[in-house]
Amino acid sequence: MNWMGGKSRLGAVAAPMASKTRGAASTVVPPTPITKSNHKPDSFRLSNGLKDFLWLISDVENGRLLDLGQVSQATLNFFIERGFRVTTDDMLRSWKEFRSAEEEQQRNAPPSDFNEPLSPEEIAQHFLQNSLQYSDDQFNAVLVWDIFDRLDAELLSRVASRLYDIVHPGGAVLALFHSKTPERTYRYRIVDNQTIEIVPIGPAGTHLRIFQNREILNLFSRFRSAKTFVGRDQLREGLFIK
Amino acid sequence: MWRKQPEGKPSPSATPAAPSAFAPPSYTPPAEKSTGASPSPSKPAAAIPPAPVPSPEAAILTQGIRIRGELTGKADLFIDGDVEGSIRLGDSRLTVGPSGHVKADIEAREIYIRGDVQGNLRGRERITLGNSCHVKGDLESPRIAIEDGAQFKGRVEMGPAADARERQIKRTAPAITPSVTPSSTDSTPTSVPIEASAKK
Repeated sequence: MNWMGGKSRLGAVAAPMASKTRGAASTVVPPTPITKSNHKPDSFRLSNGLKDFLWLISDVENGRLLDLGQVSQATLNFFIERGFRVTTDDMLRSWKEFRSAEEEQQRNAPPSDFNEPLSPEEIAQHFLQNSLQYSDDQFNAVLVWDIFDRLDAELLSRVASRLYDIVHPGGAVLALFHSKTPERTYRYRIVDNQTIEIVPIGPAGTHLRIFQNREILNLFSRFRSAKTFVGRDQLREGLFIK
Repeated sequence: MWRKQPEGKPSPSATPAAPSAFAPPSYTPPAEKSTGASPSPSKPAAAIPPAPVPSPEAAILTQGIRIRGELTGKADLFIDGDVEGSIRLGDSRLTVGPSGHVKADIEAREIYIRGDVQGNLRGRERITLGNSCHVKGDLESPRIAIEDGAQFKGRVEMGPAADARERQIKRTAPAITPSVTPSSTDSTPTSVPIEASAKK
């Protein structure tokens, strides 16, 4: 049962915020208006980008979704309950592990086998030979979260291009970009149709760049359509359609 | 460029994401904080079971034990060592402890992972990925629980589809007999019966 109890949708604006303190209450409770005391912008975020993203893929049957962030049960459940087959691939972690392994290999190489160290571009190319290796047009939807803020420069255009290849025509990609350097490192999970929970998981330091809107559009220029939303919390959402 | 949005669909305008500007069409309150799961009546989200403690009857592969080959059986199994090959435990429970390293496809009634696993996991009733696990492979089970901090790369199939497929497999599959098949080319130690390794 919808806990909003048939109230008008406009009367339920604060639902996600209010619910945080109620937990999984099943009783009908009138929505609590947003006030300074209960508004938690660092935790629950109302997302226009997510709302559009979900709308775009709402007609897809037996869809496939790729989540490039850290695995989250809430996000998994959200899409599986809507009939999607979900693939999770924590790309940032894979990249870091790959790069560490490459560096370790270079350090440990015996002098006789020592070759010129690989350039960052070559390392990126090697990485993508084993990562994001999905069939073309395989996914109807891709959640990128904020990994483009945290990926090394040599990977950016390659990953964006690879994303284009693996997304089905008409499919959508949702990405987040910080408009100012974040104070922490975050992970993201979907709470409901238009709410994303932003969970701090560590200190800042993994954030590498601030994208200008034009740079974002250039990066995803192969996509048929691009749209960005800027939030008051300095988080820009990008929605790209193939 | 953008489809015209019918009433009730989100506005296409790139307006600031001000919280008060939204009206959620529906809202399912989030479940308990630890899992972030949003349970539904049809597919109850798997609650995170308590940390794995091997039951007295469970066979235990302790740290330092290495097995290469096919592990099958009807007893619960706790792996804290290294296993490479395949593991099929039918109606039993498999737990991979924090020191466990498994490179194998796994089939069991319940699977709880806290160590490193590379391989596809099929849980007849439930799969749980603990917060210290590192799993690379596909998951298939009616219920899947993932703790915060779990590292996972792969595909997930959960709910009725996985459940129905599991029932079909159960109807057609022959009964599993307890045995350990040594790998014929294996020069490393050891293919030991589960019972034997439990005494270590």
